[in-house]
Amino acid sequence: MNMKICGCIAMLVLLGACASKDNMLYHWGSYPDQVYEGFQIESGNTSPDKQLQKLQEEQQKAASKGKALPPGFRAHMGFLYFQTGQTNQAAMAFEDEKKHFPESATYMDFALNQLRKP
Amino acid sequence: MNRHTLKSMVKPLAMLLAVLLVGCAAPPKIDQSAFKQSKPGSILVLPPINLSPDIRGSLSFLSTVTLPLSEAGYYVFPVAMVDATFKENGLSMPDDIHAAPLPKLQSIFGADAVLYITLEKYGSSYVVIDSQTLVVAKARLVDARSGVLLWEGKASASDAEGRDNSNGLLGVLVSSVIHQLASQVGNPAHGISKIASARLLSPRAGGILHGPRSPQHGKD
Repeated sequence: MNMKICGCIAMLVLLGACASKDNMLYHWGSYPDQVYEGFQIESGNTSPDKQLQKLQEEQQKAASKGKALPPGFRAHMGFLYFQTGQTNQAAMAFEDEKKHFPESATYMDFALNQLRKP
Repeated sequence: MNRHTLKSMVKPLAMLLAVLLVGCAAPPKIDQSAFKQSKPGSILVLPPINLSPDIRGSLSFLSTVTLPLSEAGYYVFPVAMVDATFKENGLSMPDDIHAAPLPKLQSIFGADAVLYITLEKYGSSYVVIDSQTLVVAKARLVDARSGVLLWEGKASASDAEGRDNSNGLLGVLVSSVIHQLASQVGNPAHGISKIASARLLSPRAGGILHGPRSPQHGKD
């Protein structure tokens, strides 16, 4: 039996073992609902500060579960930091998004440039 | 197991699966060669055009697309920040945003593909005995560089339909949404949007293909 076939069988066994568990790629928690609520900030039910606090909690949950944060999560935190005037934190979050998701580089550089504008 | 060993195992596995499946697979009805050729890794989702009278529809639906598309293996640009970028640049209406030239979008976002969504129905309609909350959305995925159409689809969800979804991501979503609906008095159409969005944007036959961040990538 050659190595490739062995690999295939091993892979199928692994996949079978994974299938019964949480097979999501990312930890989502309340993140999508935070984004939705953020769109209705004028309702007064939430604020960028409250949202940041909730997202930090999700960040900890993801870390304790060993799950990755979803695309855009860090950038969204940066966006909230920006709204609360914490420019340095915002820049760090945008850099962090770029590091974890290089697909975001063009947009994160655009955002970082906006931050540096007086 | 690192990425490389994984990658080297994907091909033989795909071949094995292909051999196993060949006997029972129906011939594909939709040509997805443009999609396969384009191999998008990142998707810029524009705020949906909303044809319903409920003005909450566009941003409500927009906030539900990141989960299914990310779980399908794509990088999805942060939708709220993207919406703010458009507004800062004088584009506050989805119709205007959808008309933005691709090279302009490309220069700001650098996305591989752009997703254009139109909400045909969003909200509750009241009939004599009961009310129904219905969301109907259609979408077009376009290559951000060439403008070539990669995929288009349509999906709907309603609180009147049978709750018999039990498979995979959809099943998880549907059951969690039903739990939420009980507590989410504010806007039931938002919960229904999550189901419509997952149906529209989760990989399935004739649907979007798995993206590069999914272990299923290249096996569609």
